[in-house]
Order: sequence, then structure tokens, then C-alpha cells
Amino acid sequence: MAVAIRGFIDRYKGSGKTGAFNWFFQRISGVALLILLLGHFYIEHFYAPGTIPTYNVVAGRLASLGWKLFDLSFVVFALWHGINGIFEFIDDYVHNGWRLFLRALFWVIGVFYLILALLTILPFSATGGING
Amino acid sequence: MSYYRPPAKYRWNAGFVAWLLHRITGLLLILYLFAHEWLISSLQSKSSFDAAMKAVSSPLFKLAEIGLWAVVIYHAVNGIRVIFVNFFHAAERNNYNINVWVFWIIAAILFVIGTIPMAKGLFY
Repeated sequence: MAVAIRGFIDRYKGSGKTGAFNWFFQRISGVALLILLLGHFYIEHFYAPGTIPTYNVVAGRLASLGWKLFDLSFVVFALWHGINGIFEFIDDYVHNGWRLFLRALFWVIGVFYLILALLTILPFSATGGING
Repeated sequence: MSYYRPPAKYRWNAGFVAWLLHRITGLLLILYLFAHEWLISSLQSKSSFDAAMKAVSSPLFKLAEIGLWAVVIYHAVNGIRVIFVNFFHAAERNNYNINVWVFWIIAAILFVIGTIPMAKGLFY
């Protein structure tokens, strides 16, 4: 197993130009999302059916560093996986000058949403968020 | 620029349908993520957060939530199938289409299991 993983790392190392790393990491982040997204879905949708998630419940959970890290890693993996998926669409369907524009656009959108996630999750507390 | 030109006609094999649905559900999920994060980030006060959560707990949103679960579980289960195709020889000629059906059935079972608690939530 370790040898196989080592082999994959060697094969995709320095592969930025071919996109092979992106292809490989799409699988890795997908497996990570199985745990993170389904965990998130379980907590938000199945754990307490019929109850409305209030600010205090969410703030209570986010009081622990572990849940903050869980939510942040979920956002990071989901954004990377989703935007890399959009890059796959662009590779497949856009072969003219719009290619560069669209790739740049989704880079900007990705960084924007990453910063937005940090600004939302980190200050979320029972005493109030950014605006107190 | 030279690139691969796909054939003008696709065959509607199970594998092609699975791939097409993976693309569509993937696009829906990233758009949902953008909307979801945008909404949550705009709810920085206790009153606006609780008011929005009450609004999205209406039966209409609960039904949409079940639709979201269908999209999530299809993309997740088919993603596992893709990994099996890539790394565990699930793309052999003699088993490829049957494997697609096996994963569709797994996805359908998980969809039903997850829908039961959410459908109960509809009637609270």
C-alpha cells in the first residue's frame, strides 16, 4: 500500500502542466468530502429532524476548535473539488480565448469564497459574529 | 490549439449516462455551495440567522432538501465508482455496465434511507 501511494506521488509530482496532479487530487479530495460532506449533512439534516437549527445551537458547536477545523476543511476541500470540476468543464468545452478569462474568473471566485468562509466561521460565537 | 474532438454521437450506455449525471450533479453542487455559503455569511446577527433558518424550514424547502440529498448521494456514490474504475479494475469490458447498475442501486438504497428522517421532518 505504502509503495503504491509512493508510486502515485512520484508519478504526479511536478505535473502542473499536464493537469495530472489535479486529476489525482480530484479523487483524493472526493474521498475526503465523503467524510466531511456526509458528516456535515448528517449533523445538519439527520441528527435532529424536525428541529430548526438556531444561531445558539450552531454557535455552541462552533465554540470548539475541532468543529471550526471540520467546517473549514470541508469548505476548502469542497471549493477546490468544485472549482477544479469547473476547470474540467472548461478544458472539455471551451477552446478559444474565453478559456483564460474563465479560468481566471473561477480562481478569483474560489479565493473570494475561501476568504468569505474564514470570515464567517472563525468569528462565529454566542456573543455575536462580525457585527456583534 | 489542438484538442480531442469527441465523436458527434454518443451511445446511451449506462456508463455514459452515469458520467453525464455526474457532470450535471457536480455543477448543481458547486452552484449550491456558492449560494449556501453566500447566505450563511450574510447572517451575522442572531435575529437574522434564526429568521432565515425558520424560513428555510418550510415544507417547500424541506422538499428541496430531499432533492439536494438525491444530488449529493448520486455524486458521492458515482464518485466512488469512478475511483473503482480508475484504480480497482472496474472498467473491464465484461463488467463495466453491470457495475454502473450496482452503484445506481446502492445510491437508490442510500437515498431512501436518508429520505426517511427528512420526510418525517416534513410533518413535524
